[in-house]
Amino acid sequence: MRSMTVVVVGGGVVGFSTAVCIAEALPYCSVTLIADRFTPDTTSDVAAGIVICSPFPDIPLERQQRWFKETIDHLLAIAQSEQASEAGVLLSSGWQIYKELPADKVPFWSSFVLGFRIMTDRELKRFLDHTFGQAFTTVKCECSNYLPWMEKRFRKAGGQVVKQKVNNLQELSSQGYDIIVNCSGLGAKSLVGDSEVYPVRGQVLKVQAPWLQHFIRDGEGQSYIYPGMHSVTVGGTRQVDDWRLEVDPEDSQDILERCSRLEPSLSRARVLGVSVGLRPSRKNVRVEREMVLLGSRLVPVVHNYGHGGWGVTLSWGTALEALGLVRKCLHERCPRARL
Amino acid sequence: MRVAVIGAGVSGLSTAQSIYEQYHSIVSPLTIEVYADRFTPLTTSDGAAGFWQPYLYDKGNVQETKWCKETFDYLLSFLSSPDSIKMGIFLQSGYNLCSEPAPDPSFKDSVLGFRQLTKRELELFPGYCYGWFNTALMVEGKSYLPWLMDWLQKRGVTFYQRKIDSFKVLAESGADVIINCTGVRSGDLQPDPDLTPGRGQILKVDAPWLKHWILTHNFTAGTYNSPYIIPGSRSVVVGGCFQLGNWSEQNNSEDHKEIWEGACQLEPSLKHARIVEDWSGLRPVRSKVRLERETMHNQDVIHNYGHGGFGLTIHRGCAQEAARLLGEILELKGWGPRSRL
Repeated sequence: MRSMTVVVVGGGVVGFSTAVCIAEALPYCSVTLIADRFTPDTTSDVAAGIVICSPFPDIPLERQQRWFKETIDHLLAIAQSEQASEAGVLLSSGWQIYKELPADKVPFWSSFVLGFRIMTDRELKRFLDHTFGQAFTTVKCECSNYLPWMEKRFRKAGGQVVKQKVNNLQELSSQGYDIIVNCSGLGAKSLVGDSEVYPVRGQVLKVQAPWLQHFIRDGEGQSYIYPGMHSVTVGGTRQVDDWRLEVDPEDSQDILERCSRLEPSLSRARVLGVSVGLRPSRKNVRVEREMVLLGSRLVPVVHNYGHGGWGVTLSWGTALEALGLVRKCLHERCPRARL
Repeated sequence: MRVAVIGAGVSGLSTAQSIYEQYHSIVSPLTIEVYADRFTPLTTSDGAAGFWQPYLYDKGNVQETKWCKETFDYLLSFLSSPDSIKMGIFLQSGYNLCSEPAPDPSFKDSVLGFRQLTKRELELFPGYCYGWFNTALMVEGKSYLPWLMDWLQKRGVTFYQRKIDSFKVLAESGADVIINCTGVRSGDLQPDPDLTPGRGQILKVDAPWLKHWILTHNFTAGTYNSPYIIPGSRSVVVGGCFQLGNWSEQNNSEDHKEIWEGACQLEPSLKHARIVEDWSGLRPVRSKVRLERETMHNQDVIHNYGHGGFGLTIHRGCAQEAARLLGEILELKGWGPRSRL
């Protein structure tokens, strides 16, 4: 019997993570990844890629914890391997600081990062406006390296990559794919008509400050400093429903002012570039399957989109869950098939 | 008063600084001169990684622990200043790894956020079952020394590039007090059987994905005789060795091989790092720092040498103490606030 064909829509971190999971776990499936944009032009490329997140309101915490844990464990293993530099994955220690005591002093992922603890008074002294903080070690995953590395891995597992804009699921069904996996991020708004998806605009600066070794994040999420391999990402903005992809110089100025308050030495850092990304936001990330009538075919569709600002953070965990859903679809289709 | 400082490493320059700070408004005129055969970037202080950390245990030298802490607090106070980058000062966190449980180190209260390593953290380092994490400071000699020289130059301190063969030479030229910061070669000026070189070799590597220092401790092999990785602002320093009595400043290929293999085992991601160059230096090792004054043939000398592998770590505390010793000399000689010479 012929092998099952799976198509993954989306070339960002969620798309490639999902495609790799499926291709590596199901060698008897033929997996194709289709996207109109690839690195370095995806939303993931703009992201600093620090593994950290806020909870979705309606998804059971255990499920979100599983996503977080699976992703960070996956990335930690890469960081400790010879692949680390090529994959763009590194350990990053630092501080999340709050001006006022947060309701949740300990985030739901605290036991999955390394060495999580509350900051000492002496450590907080440096931050004049902040009264509470958490110190921990997490991972930074730089998509400008990670995505090419994942693509390599995907192709090695037999995956095919196609550059093409998909306007609707019908097109994919007509091409005969057995299962559609939708990792289209913000694109899901038009691709599957999901009105709950909306952009949250984020602008970031890349600066040269090689003396900075720690991340600093204001607990509100507006201001952050994330040292990376070749530059420091300084941000940001959270502009809901703002579709502008152009750089806003006022945002840049505001970001630098706020972040220089956190880290004075930033005022002496050279700005290397500015970018904008639209976080594919949704009240809750959508990881589920549904049967969609496309033409005359009832096609299983596995959705994995709406990760907001936590795409990298939840990439591997949600990809694994999407893999599980694909498995279910295949099983129902051909209960005795070798998968 | 004429003060002649011999040595332009971190000890010589910072002692000149402390002396200027404490006495320039008290003693007038105050002439400070620095003599050295080697200046930045060719001193031992320049080759060192610039990582603030004393040896794990001070073996009863509590005064040294105090001076190290004083240095840490002093450097920390510059972090928010506009000069911090020029001075080469920044924070960096990391791991001290042991192959067996060990008592807490002497510096646990000096550094920030000191804690034991968790089980999960230790899983990152196979072969090590115990250790600590903390945030410490970097003070990179290649930036700090030029900054010190500039600071001193602006305040009228003069520099002379020449090898001083004896204290007598300076005494005869009219120096009132000599400050001996000659490091590992102090024996050339005055035999010191307690002073011996502790040769170290390091590899400078391009690995910008590393953001933590990692030091391993092998209690049989001894301090700095096991792998360490210390990222800096421009490159990563990989070491190390600690060869007592070895005066060679030449890079050794066997040491290179051993150091590189040890480091790659500790940090597999290094496999694809580009090695830029090797460097060898001689730590001025002594059972304890020689920080005292001595009068020989009517000549006052203040010794400030023998800081082993923690010169940058302890420099400010020692410089301040050396300046205090100068104060003792001034008192004895009656050179008080209203003296004019």
